[in-house]
Amino acid sequence: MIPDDARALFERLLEEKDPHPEIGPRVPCDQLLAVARALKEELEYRFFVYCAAAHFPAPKDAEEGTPAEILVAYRVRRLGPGTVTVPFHVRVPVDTASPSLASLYAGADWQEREQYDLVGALFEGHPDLRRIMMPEDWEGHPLRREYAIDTPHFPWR
Amino acid sequence: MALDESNKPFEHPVYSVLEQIPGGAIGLTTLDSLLTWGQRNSLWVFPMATSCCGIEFMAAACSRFDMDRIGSIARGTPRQCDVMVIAGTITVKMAPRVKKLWDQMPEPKWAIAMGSCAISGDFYRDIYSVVPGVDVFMPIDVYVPGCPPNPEALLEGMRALQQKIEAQRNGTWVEPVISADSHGLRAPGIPRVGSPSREDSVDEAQLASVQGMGLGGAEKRENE
Amino acid sequence: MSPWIAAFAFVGIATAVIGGTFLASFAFQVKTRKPSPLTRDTYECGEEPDGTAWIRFHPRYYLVALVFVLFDVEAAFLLPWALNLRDLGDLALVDMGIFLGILLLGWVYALKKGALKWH
Repeated sequence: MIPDDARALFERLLEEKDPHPEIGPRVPCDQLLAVARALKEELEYRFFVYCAAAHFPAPKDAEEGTPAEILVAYRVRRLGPGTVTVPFHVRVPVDTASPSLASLYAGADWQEREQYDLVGALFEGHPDLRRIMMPEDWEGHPLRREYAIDTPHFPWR
Repeated sequence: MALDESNKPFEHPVYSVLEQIPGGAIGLTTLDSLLTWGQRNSLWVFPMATSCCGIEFMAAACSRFDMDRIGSIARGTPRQCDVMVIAGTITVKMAPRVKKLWDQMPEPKWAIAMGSCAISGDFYRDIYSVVPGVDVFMPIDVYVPGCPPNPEALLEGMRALQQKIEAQRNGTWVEPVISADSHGLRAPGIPRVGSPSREDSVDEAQLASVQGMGLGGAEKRENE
Repeated sequence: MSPWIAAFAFVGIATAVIGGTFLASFAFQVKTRKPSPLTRDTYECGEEPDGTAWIRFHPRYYLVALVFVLFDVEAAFLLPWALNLRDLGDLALVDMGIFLGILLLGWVYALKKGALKWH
């Protein structure tokens, strides 16, 4: 359930009347910072809950040219009594950068690094986009769909 | 087996003197068994507690189950320890650090693999980031099964290690055979330490990987 | 003679314990018999050592230790005096009072100068 004030903001900025209840409205990349700034400064959603990305490869039976995409879902919270959260998301083709919210929310810094590390989601304007969980010299993004879960890594496994 | 030379008796200058005295050999064996008794009843532990087994290790060390009554205390530096207890899943990122700490322990040293993750990787065995059992890169003396093992099970494992040390010093130790085919078990991708199919190139590659660890993020940021 | 027997016994046992430990250290050669290239690396929880080992410490630790030593020595002088005060008479009281007064001046000076301020 998306709170009413956020709903009104989405309608005003994005003309989105019926956002998805779990991942929120789809925000175009060029409006992401504006929407996030409005949520933070106008409606006081100042706490960054999570940034989670998922890899959607092109379905096998789809037409030629359907791109593989990465969905980056965000959620922010307004603290205090009656605390509520608001989700929103972007979808970008694989290997295209979406804007980084690290300049706006300090909590987005490492979370975006984690999504870059595991899914390969790129963030433009991130101060220090590098691996955070896997070893620095790891190749590949483990949570991509085509990544084999039992990938060997000589000389340890 | 953690140390090839553990079957050797203690070496010290007094031995050469005692050997020359007729009947001194009795003193030697008595001295040896006294020193062995002292050594096995004061095994200081270096805990490598990475996961849930670490909590059970803490429980074993604290008042109810009390590791101190068998002479073991947990020390924070490998230089002061006899036993390394690997309690928890070892990931590919952590493995060079564990190997380095194992190499930094002075001999004589032993290792206990506590919990399924340290023994075989447990149900994380096939994941890209988990080392399938810590004996892929270091020799283990005692395996304590469980997920996690009871503190009492860990204490029994330490007791078994004490018995192993005594048997090794007596010369009565028989090395058990761990083969991949026993009980239908599957061997890990990298042959275990002590396995006949393990080549030196694996040891060298693991050592090179540890030495090439670098400073990680800090070094990268400075050099870029 | 009898009080000294206890003292000699104490010294004798202390020498035996310390000397025995020293001699036993030749027997227990705890060292690495199969060193690997990593054995002599500086310990830093398994990571590569970063930075220098000689770092700067805050001088407040030195000041606290210095003041502690001074007043610890003062306490060491107070103890035998306190035990024998009854036999020593009034002059001893005055003497110790002068001693404590001088040290009290020193303590007030240290306080005023902020030597014990932790910052």
